[in-house]
Amino acid sequence: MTDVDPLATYSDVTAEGNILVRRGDFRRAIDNFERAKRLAEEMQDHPLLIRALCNLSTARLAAGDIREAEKGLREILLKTRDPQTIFVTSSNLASALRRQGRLDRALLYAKRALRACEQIDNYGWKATCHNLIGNIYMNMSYLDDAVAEYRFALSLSEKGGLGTSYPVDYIKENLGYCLLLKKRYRQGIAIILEALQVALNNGNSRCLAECYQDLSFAYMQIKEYGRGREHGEKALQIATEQEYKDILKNCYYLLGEINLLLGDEEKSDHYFDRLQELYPHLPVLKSFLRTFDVSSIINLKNPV
Amino acid sequence: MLMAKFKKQSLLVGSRIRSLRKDRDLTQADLAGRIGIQQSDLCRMENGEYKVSLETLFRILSVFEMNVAEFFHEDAAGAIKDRDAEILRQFHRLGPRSQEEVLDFMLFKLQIEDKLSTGKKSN
Repeated sequence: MTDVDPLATYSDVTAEGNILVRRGDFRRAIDNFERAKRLAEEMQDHPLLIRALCNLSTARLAAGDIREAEKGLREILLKTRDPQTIFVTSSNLASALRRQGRLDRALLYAKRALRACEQIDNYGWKATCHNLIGNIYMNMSYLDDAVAEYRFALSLSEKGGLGTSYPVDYIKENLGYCLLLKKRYRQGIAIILEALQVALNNGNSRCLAECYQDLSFAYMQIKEYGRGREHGEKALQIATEQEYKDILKNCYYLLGEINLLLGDEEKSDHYFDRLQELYPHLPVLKSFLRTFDVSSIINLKNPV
Repeated sequence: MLMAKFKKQSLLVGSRIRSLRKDRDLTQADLAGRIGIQQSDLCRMENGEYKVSLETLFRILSVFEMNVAEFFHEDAAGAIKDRDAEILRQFHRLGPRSQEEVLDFMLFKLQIEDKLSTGKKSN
Protein backbone atom coordinates (compact mmCIF):
# COMPACT_ATOMS: atom_id res chain seq x y z
CA MET A 1 0.00 0.00 0.00
CA THR A 2 1.47 3.34 -0.99
CA ASP A 3 1.27 6.52 1.08
CA VAL A 4 -0.89 9.15 -0.53
CA ASP A 5 0.34 12.74 -0.32
CA PRO A 6 -2.52 14.63 1.43
CA LEU A 7 -1.49 17.92 -0.18
CA ALA A 8 -1.70 16.40 -3.66
CA THR A 9 -5.06 14.84 -2.81
CA TYR A 10 -6.27 18.18 -1.48
CA SER A 11 -5.31 19.86 -4.77
CA ASP A 12 -6.94 17.13 -6.84
CA VAL A 13 -10.26 17.08 -5.00
CA THR A 14 -10.36 20.89 -4.97
CA ALA A 15 -9.69 21.15 -8.70
CA GLU A 16 -12.32 18.51 -9.41
CA GLY A 17 -14.77 20.28 -7.05
CA ASN A 18 -14.32 23.53 -8.97
CA ILE A 19 -15.06 21.76 -12.25
CA LEU A 20 -18.16 20.17 -10.72
CA VAL A 21 -19.42 23.60 -9.58
CA ARG A 22 -18.96 24.98 -13.07
CA ARG A 23 -20.87 22.04 -14.49
CA GLY A 24 -23.73 22.51 -12.04
CA ASP A 25 -23.11 19.24 -10.18
CA PHE A 26 -23.28 20.90 -6.78
CA ARG A 27 -23.89 17.86 -4.54
CA ARG A 28 -20.77 16.09 -5.75
CA ALA A 29 -18.84 19.35 -5.48
CA ILE A 30 -19.88 19.63 -1.83
CA ASP A 31 -18.55 16.10 -1.19
CA ASN A 32 -15.23 17.08 -2.74
CA PHE A 33 -14.85 20.26 -0.71
CA GLU A 34 -15.87 18.45 2.52
CA ARG A 35 -13.04 16.03 1.81
CA ALA A 36 -10.64 18.91 1.12
CA LYS A 37 -11.67 20.48 4.43
CA ARG A 38 -10.95 17.26 6.34
CA LEU A 39 -7.55 16.95 4.65
CA ALA A 40 -6.67 20.56 5.54
CA GLU A 41 -7.67 19.89 9.15
CA GLU A 42 -5.51 16.76 9.26
CA MET A 43 -2.57 18.71 7.82
CA GLN A 44 -3.34 21.56 10.25
CA ASP A 45 -2.88 23.95 7.35
CA HIS A 46 -4.92 27.07 8.16
CA PRO A 47 -4.77 28.81 4.73
CA LEU A 48 -5.84 25.58 3.00
CA LEU A 49 -8.64 25.15 5.54
CA ILE A 50 -9.90 28.68 4.82
CA ARG A 51 -9.78 27.97 1.08
CA ALA A 52 -11.70 24.72 1.56
CA LEU A 53 -14.33 26.47 3.69
CA CYS A 54 -14.75 29.18 1.05
CA ASN A 55 -15.12 26.60 -1.72
CA LEU A 56 -17.57 24.61 0.38
CA SER A 57 -19.61 27.74 0.94
CA THR A 58 -19.69 28.47 -2.81
CA ALA A 59 -20.92 24.96 -3.62
CA ARG A 60 -23.55 25.02 -0.84
CA LEU A 61 -24.83 28.36 -2.05
CA ALA A 62 -25.19 27.03 -5.55
CA ALA A 63 -27.01 23.97 -4.20
CA GLY A 64 -29.42 26.20 -2.29
CA ASP A 65 -28.19 25.35 1.23
CA ILE A 66 -28.10 29.04 2.08
CA ARG A 67 -27.86 28.94 5.91
CA GLU A 68 -25.14 26.31 5.83
CA ALA A 69 -23.24 28.28 3.18
CA GLU A 70 -23.28 31.43 5.30
CA LYS A 71 -21.85 29.79 8.43
CA GLY A 72 -18.40 31.00 9.40
CA LEU A 73 -17.97 33.42 6.51
CA ARG A 74 -18.22 36.58 8.63
CA GLU A 75 -15.58 35.26 11.05
CA ILE A 76 -13.22 34.52 8.16
CA LEU A 77 -13.86 37.95 6.65
CA LEU A 78 -13.15 39.70 9.96
CA LYS A 79 -9.80 37.96 10.41
CA THR A 80 -8.37 38.04 6.90
CA ARG A 81 -6.42 40.66 4.96
CA ASP A 82 -5.94 38.48 1.90
CA PRO A 83 -7.80 40.11 -1.04
CA GLN A 84 -8.65 36.72 -2.56
CA THR A 85 -10.28 35.53 0.67
CA ILE A 86 -12.03 38.88 1.12
CA PHE A 87 -13.38 38.55 -2.43
CA VAL A 88 -14.71 35.01 -1.97
CA THR A 89 -16.21 35.51 1.50
CA SER A 90 -17.78 38.88 0.60
CA SER A 91 -19.28 37.65 -2.65
CA ASN A 92 -20.58 34.49 -0.98
CA LEU A 93 -22.14 36.54 1.82
CA ALA A 94 -23.67 38.80 -0.82
CA SER A 95 -25.12 35.77 -2.63
CA ALA A 96 -26.44 34.28 0.63
CA LEU A 97 -28.12 37.55 1.62
CA ARG A 98 -29.53 37.96 -1.89
CA ARG A 99 -31.12 34.52 -1.65
CA GLN A 100 -32.74 35.59 1.63
CA GLY A 101 -34.14 38.75 0.07
CA ARG A 102 -31.87 41.02 2.11
CA LEU A 103 -30.88 42.93 -0.98
CA ASP A 104 -29.47 46.15 0.51
CA ARG A 105 -27.07 44.17 2.71
CA ALA A 106 -26.24 41.93 -0.24
CA LEU A 107 -25.29 44.96 -2.31
CA LEU A 108 -22.93 46.20 0.42
CA TYR A 109 -21.05 42.88 0.48
CA ALA A 110 -21.00 42.65 -3.32
CA LYS A 111 -19.39 46.08 -3.48
CA ARG A 112 -16.89 45.02 -0.85
CA ALA A 113 -16.03 42.02 -3.01
CA LEU A 114 -15.61 44.36 -5.95
CA ARG A 115 -13.18 46.54 -3.97
CA ALA A 116 -11.15 43.42 -3.11
CA CYS A 117 -11.15 42.53 -6.81
CA GLU A 118 -9.45 45.80 -7.67
CA GLN A 119 -6.32 44.42 -5.97
CA ILE A 120 -6.43 41.15 -7.91
CA ASP A 121 -5.65 40.97 -11.59
CA ASN A 122 -8.43 38.52 -12.46
CA TYR A 123 -10.98 39.54 -15.07
CA GLY A 124 -13.07 36.44 -14.40
CA TRP A 125 -13.59 37.43 -10.77
CA LYS A 126 -14.31 41.04 -11.67
CA ALA A 127 -16.86 39.89 -14.20
CA THR A 128 -18.39 37.55 -11.57
CA CYS A 129 -18.67 40.50 -9.19
CA HIS A 130 -20.46 42.71 -11.70
CA ASN A 131 -22.73 39.80 -12.61
CA LEU A 132 -23.61 39.43 -8.91
CA ILE A 133 -24.34 43.15 -8.61
CA GLY A 134 -26.46 42.85 -11.75
CA ASN A 135 -28.40 39.98 -10.13
CA ILE A 136 -29.07 42.07 -7.04
CA TYR A 137 -30.32 44.99 -9.14
CA MET A 138 -32.48 42.61 -11.15
CA ASN A 139 -33.99 41.23 -7.92
CA MET A 140 -34.65 44.83 -6.87
CA SER A 141 -36.35 45.36 -10.26
CA TYR A 142 -33.84 48.06 -11.19
CA LEU A 143 -33.61 46.56 -14.64
CA ASP A 144 -31.64 49.29 -16.44
CA ASP A 145 -28.95 49.19 -13.76
CA ALA A 146 -28.86 45.41 -13.96
CA VAL A 147 -28.44 45.45 -17.75
CA ALA A 148 -25.57 47.95 -17.41
CA GLU A 149 -23.82 45.65 -14.89
CA TYR A 150 -24.23 42.56 -17.09
CA ARG A 151 -22.93 44.41 -20.14
CA PHE A 152 -19.94 45.66 -18.17
CA ALA A 153 -19.30 42.12 -16.91
CA LEU A 154 -19.32 40.88 -20.51
CA SER A 155 -16.91 43.63 -21.59
CA LEU A 156 -14.56 42.61 -18.75
CA SER A 157 -14.80 38.97 -19.84
CA GLU A 158 -13.88 40.01 -23.35
CA LYS A 159 -11.01 42.17 -22.12
CA GLY A 160 -9.71 39.26 -20.05
CA GLY A 161 -9.93 36.91 -23.02
CA LEU A 162 -12.36 34.59 -21.24
CA GLY A 163 -13.98 33.66 -24.54
CA THR A 164 -16.93 31.44 -23.77
CA SER A 165 -15.66 30.00 -20.52
CA TYR A 166 -17.39 30.29 -17.12
CA PRO A 167 -18.96 32.70 -16.03
CA VAL A 168 -19.75 34.08 -19.51
CA ASP A 169 -22.63 31.58 -19.91
CA TYR A 170 -24.31 32.84 -16.71
CA ILE A 171 -23.76 36.52 -17.53
CA LYS A 172 -25.32 36.17 -20.96
CA GLU A 173 -28.21 34.18 -19.55
CA ASN A 174 -28.90 36.81 -16.89
CA LEU A 175 -28.65 39.64 -19.41
CA GLY A 176 -31.08 37.83 -21.71
CA TYR A 177 -33.61 37.27 -18.92
CA CYS A 178 -33.32 40.88 -17.79
CA LEU A 179 -34.19 41.98 -21.32
CA LEU A 180 -37.23 39.69 -21.20
CA LEU A 181 -38.35 41.48 -18.03
CA LYS A 182 -37.96 44.73 -19.95
CA LYS A 183 -40.25 43.18 -22.59
CA ARG A 184 -37.50 43.18 -25.22
CA TYR A 185 -38.38 39.59 -26.00
CA ARG A 186 -36.65 38.97 -29.33
CA GLN A 187 -33.39 40.52 -28.15
CA GLY A 188 -33.57 38.59 -24.88
CA ILE A 189 -34.25 35.29 -26.66
CA ALA A 190 -31.27 35.85 -29.00
CA ILE A 191 -28.90 36.39 -26.07
CA ILE A 192 -30.28 33.43 -24.08
CA LEU A 193 -29.81 31.21 -27.14
CA GLU A 194 -26.16 32.31 -27.20
CA ALA A 195 -25.89 31.48 -23.50
CA LEU A 196 -27.52 28.11 -24.15
CA GLN A 197 -24.87 27.23 -26.71
CA VAL A 198 -22.08 28.28 -24.34
CA ALA A 199 -23.62 26.34 -21.45
CA LEU A 200 -23.93 23.25 -23.66
CA ASN A 201 -20.28 23.50 -24.66
CA ASN A 202 -19.22 24.05 -21.05
CA GLY A 203 -21.40 21.17 -19.81
CA ASN A 204 -22.99 23.61 -17.32
CA SER A 205 -26.26 21.88 -16.44
CA ARG A 206 -27.45 24.60 -14.04
CA CYS A 207 -27.06 27.35 -16.62
CA LEU A 208 -28.60 25.09 -19.24
CA ALA A 209 -31.69 24.55 -17.08
CA GLU A 210 -31.99 28.30 -16.50
CA CYS A 211 -31.71 28.95 -20.25
CA TYR A 212 -34.49 26.46 -21.05
CA GLN A 213 -36.66 27.84 -18.24
CA ASP A 214 -36.25 31.43 -19.42
CA LEU A 215 -36.80 30.52 -23.06
CA SER A 216 -40.00 28.77 -22.00
CA PHE A 217 -41.10 31.99 -20.28
CA ALA A 218 -40.08 34.10 -23.29
CA TYR A 219 -41.96 31.99 -25.83
CA MET A 220 -45.01 32.00 -23.57
CA GLN A 221 -44.93 35.80 -23.51
CA ILE A 222 -44.77 36.05 -27.29
CA LYS A 223 -47.50 33.42 -27.58
CA GLU A 224 -45.36 30.73 -29.21
CA TYR A 225 -46.76 28.19 -26.77
CA GLY A 226 -45.48 25.04 -28.49
CA ARG A 227 -41.90 26.23 -28.20
CA GLY A 228 -42.54 27.41 -24.67
CA ARG A 229 -43.73 23.94 -23.67
CA GLU A 230 -40.80 22.25 -25.38
CA HIS A 231 -38.23 24.36 -23.53
CA GLY A 232 -40.12 24.12 -20.26
CA GLU A 233 -40.07 20.32 -20.44
CA LYS A 234 -36.32 20.33 -21.07
CA ALA A 235 -35.76 22.62 -18.08
CA LEU A 236 -37.96 20.39 -15.93
CA GLN A 237 -36.03 17.28 -16.89
CA ILE A 238 -32.67 18.80 -15.90
CA ALA A 239 -34.09 20.36 -12.74
CA THR A 240 -35.49 16.98 -11.67
CA GLU A 241 -32.24 15.13 -12.36
CA GLN A 242 -30.05 17.72 -10.63
CA GLU A 243 -32.50 18.65 -7.84
CA TYR A 244 -32.68 22.36 -8.73
CA LYS A 245 -35.70 23.04 -6.54
CA ASP A 246 -36.21 26.67 -7.59
CA ILE A 247 -36.26 25.78 -11.28
CA LEU A 248 -38.55 22.83 -10.57
CA LYS A 249 -41.20 25.12 -9.05
CA ASN A 250 -40.87 27.64 -11.87
CA CYS A 251 -41.27 24.85 -14.44
CA TYR A 252 -44.43 23.53 -12.79
CA TYR A 253 -45.84 27.04 -13.00
CA LEU A 254 -44.68 27.65 -16.59
CA LEU A 255 -45.86 24.29 -17.90
CA GLY A 256 -49.18 24.61 -16.06
CA GLU A 257 -49.73 28.04 -17.59
CA ILE A 258 -48.54 27.17 -21.10
CA ASN A 259 -50.60 23.99 -21.30
CA LEU A 260 -53.63 25.93 -20.13
CA LEU A 261 -53.03 28.49 -22.88
CA LEU A 262 -52.68 25.62 -25.36
CA GLY A 263 -56.03 24.32 -24.20
CA ASP A 264 -54.58 21.12 -22.73
CA GLU A 265 -56.32 21.30 -19.36
CA GLU A 266 -55.31 17.80 -18.31
CA LYS A 267 -51.63 18.52 -18.63
CA SER A 268 -52.09 21.96 -17.12
CA ASP A 269 -53.80 20.41 -14.11
CA HIS A 270 -50.97 17.92 -13.76
CA TYR A 271 -48.34 20.64 -13.42
CA PHE A 272 -50.41 22.99 -11.27
CA ASP A 273 -51.20 20.00 -9.02
CA ARG A 274 -47.49 19.33 -8.62
CA LEU A 275 -46.98 22.97 -7.64
CA GLN A 276 -49.98 22.84 -5.31
CA GLU A 277 -48.46 19.82 -3.55
CA LEU A 278 -45.52 22.01 -2.55
CA TYR A 279 -47.90 24.52 -0.93
CA PRO A 280 -50.47 22.39 0.92
CA HIS A 281 -51.28 25.29 3.27
CA LEU A 282 -52.47 27.36 0.29
CA PRO A 283 -55.39 25.48 -1.26
CA VAL A 284 -56.32 28.50 -3.37
CA LEU A 285 -53.07 28.39 -5.34
CA LYS A 286 -54.16 26.21 -8.22
CA SER A 287 -57.41 28.02 -8.89
CA PHE A 288 -55.61 31.35 -8.56
CA LEU A 289 -53.09 30.41 -11.23
CA ARG A 290 -55.79 28.94 -13.46
CA THR A 291 -57.71 32.18 -13.28
CA PHE A 292 -55.10 34.91 -13.41
CA ASP A 293 -52.16 35.57 -15.67
CA VAL A 294 -49.37 36.58 -13.29
CA SER A 295 -46.59 36.37 -15.86
CA SER A 296 -46.07 40.12 -16.02
CA ILE A 297 -45.70 40.59 -12.27
CA ILE A 298 -43.25 37.83 -11.46
CA ASN A 299 -39.50 37.49 -11.66
CA LEU A 300 -38.49 33.82 -11.93
CA LYS A 301 -35.03 34.65 -10.61
CA ASN A 302 -36.19 36.36 -7.43
CA PRO A 303 -35.19 33.89 -4.72
CA VAL A 304 -37.82 34.98 -2.18
CA MET B 1 -50.35 48.87 -26.61
CA LEU B 2 -49.34 45.46 -25.35
CA MET B 3 -46.92 47.01 -22.88
CA ALA B 4 -49.61 49.34 -21.60
CA LYS B 5 -51.84 46.35 -20.87
CA PHE B 6 -49.12 44.53 -18.97
CA LYS B 7 -48.38 47.62 -16.96
CA LYS B 8 -52.05 48.02 -16.20
CA GLN B 9 -52.16 44.46 -14.91
CA SER B 10 -49.15 45.00 -12.64
CA LEU B 11 -50.76 48.14 -11.32
CA LEU B 12 -53.96 46.23 -10.72
CA VAL B 13 -52.22 43.62 -8.58
CA GLY B 14 -50.23 46.27 -6.72
CA SER B 15 -53.20 48.47 -6.00
CA ARG B 16 -55.22 45.44 -4.89
CA ILE B 17 -52.49 44.51 -2.43
CA ARG B 18 -52.52 48.06 -1.09
CA SER B 19 -56.28 48.08 -0.57
CA LEU B 20 -56.26 44.62 1.04
CA ARG B 21 -53.48 45.75 3.36
CA LYS B 22 -55.42 48.85 4.36
CA ASP B 23 -58.62 46.82 4.87
CA ARG B 24 -56.73 44.73 7.39
CA ASP B 25 -55.16 47.74 9.12
CA LEU B 26 -51.66 46.61 8.22
CA THR B 27 -48.85 49.12 7.70
CA GLN B 28 -46.41 48.62 4.86
CA ALA B 29 -43.80 47.64 7.44
CA ASP B 30 -46.15 45.00 8.96
CA LEU B 31 -46.95 43.37 5.63
CA ALA B 32 -43.39 43.61 4.31
CA GLY B 33 -42.19 41.84 7.47
CA ARG B 34 -44.78 39.08 7.08
CA ILE B 35 -44.00 38.36 3.46
CA GLY B 36 -40.26 38.74 3.94
CA ILE B 37 -39.46 41.69 1.71
CA GLN B 38 -38.29 45.21 2.41
CA GLN B 39 -40.78 48.00 3.02
CA SER B 40 -39.41 50.05 0.12
CA ASP B 41 -39.92 47.06 -2.20
CA LEU B 42 -43.49 46.58 -0.99
CA CYS B 43 -44.10 50.25 -1.72
CA ARG B 44 -42.80 49.76 -5.28
CA MET B 45 -44.82 46.54 -5.61
CA GLU B 46 -47.98 48.45 -4.72
CA ASN B 47 -47.07 50.98 -7.42
CA GLY B 48 -46.55 48.18 -9.98
CA GLU B 49 -42.81 48.79 -10.29
CA TYR B 50 -41.48 45.71 -8.50
CA LYS B 51 -41.67 42.14 -9.76
CA VAL B 52 -42.06 39.40 -7.18
CA SER B 53 -41.06 35.76 -7.01
CA LEU B 54 -43.72 33.05 -7.12
CA GLU B 55 -42.85 32.41 -3.45
CA THR B 56 -43.66 36.00 -2.49
CA LEU B 57 -46.86 36.01 -4.53
CA PHE B 58 -48.02 32.83 -2.77
CA ARG B 59 -47.00 34.27 0.61
CA ILE B 60 -49.17 37.34 -0.05
CA LEU B 61 -52.13 35.07 -0.83
CA SER B 62 -51.39 33.17 2.36
CA VAL B 63 -51.17 36.31 4.54
CA PHE B 64 -54.51 37.59 3.28
CA GLU B 65 -56.09 34.11 3.63
CA MET B 66 -58.39 34.77 0.72
CA ASN B 67 -59.99 33.08 -2.20
CA VAL B 68 -59.26 33.83 -5.83
CA ALA B 69 -62.26 36.06 -6.36
CA GLU B 70 -61.51 38.24 -3.37
CA PHE B 71 -58.00 38.99 -4.53
CA PHE B 72 -59.12 40.99 -7.53
CA HIS B 73 -62.48 42.27 -6.39
CA GLU B 74 -63.43 44.95 -3.96
CA ASP B 75 -66.17 42.87 -2.34
CA ALA B 76 -67.30 39.29 -2.27
CA ALA B 77 -70.55 40.22 -4.01
CA GLY B 78 -68.54 41.08 -7.10
CA ALA B 79 -66.74 37.75 -7.10
CA ILE B 80 -65.50 36.51 -10.45
CA LYS B 81 -67.75 33.89 -11.94
CA ASP B 82 -66.43 30.87 -13.80
CA ARG B 83 -67.74 32.29 -17.07
CA ASP B 84 -65.94 35.61 -16.48
CA ALA B 85 -62.73 33.80 -15.71
CA GLU B 86 -63.10 31.71 -18.87
CA ILE B 87 -63.66 34.84 -20.99
CA LEU B 88 -60.58 36.45 -19.45
CA ARG B 89 -58.51 33.31 -20.01
CA GLN B 90 -59.53 32.98 -23.65
CA PHE B 91 -58.96 36.72 -24.17
CA HIS B 92 -55.35 36.34 -22.99
CA ARG B 93 -54.81 33.55 -25.51
CA LEU B 94 -55.44 35.99 -28.35
CA GLY B 95 -52.70 38.00 -30.03
CA PRO B 96 -52.51 41.76 -29.33
CA ARG B 97 -54.29 42.64 -32.58
CA SER B 98 -57.11 40.18 -31.99
CA GLN B 99 -57.49 41.51 -28.44
CA GLU B 100 -57.93 45.00 -29.90
CA GLU B 101 -60.57 43.68 -32.31
CA VAL B 102 -62.46 42.00 -29.47
CA LEU B 103 -62.40 45.23 -27.47
CA ASP B 104 -63.60 47.22 -30.49
CA PHE B 105 -66.40 44.71 -31.02
CA MET B 106 -67.43 44.94 -27.37
CA LEU B 107 -67.54 48.74 -27.60
CA PHE B 108 -69.57 48.46 -30.80
CA LYS B 109 -72.07 46.12 -29.08
CA LEU B 110 -72.30 48.45 -26.09
CA GLN B 111 -73.04 51.41 -28.37
CA ILE B 112 -75.82 49.44 -30.07
CA GLU B 113 -77.28 48.42 -26.69
CA ASP B 114 -77.09 52.05 -25.56
CA LYS B 115 -78.91 53.19 -28.68
CA LEU B 116 -81.55 50.52 -28.26
CA SER B 117 -82.18 51.41 -24.62
CA THR B 118 -82.31 55.16 -25.49
CA GLY B 119 -84.82 54.36 -28.28
CA LYS B 120 -86.98 52.33 -25.85
CA LYS B 121 -86.97 55.19 -23.32
CA SER B 122 -87.97 57.81 -25.91
CA ASN B 123 -90.79 55.53 -27.12
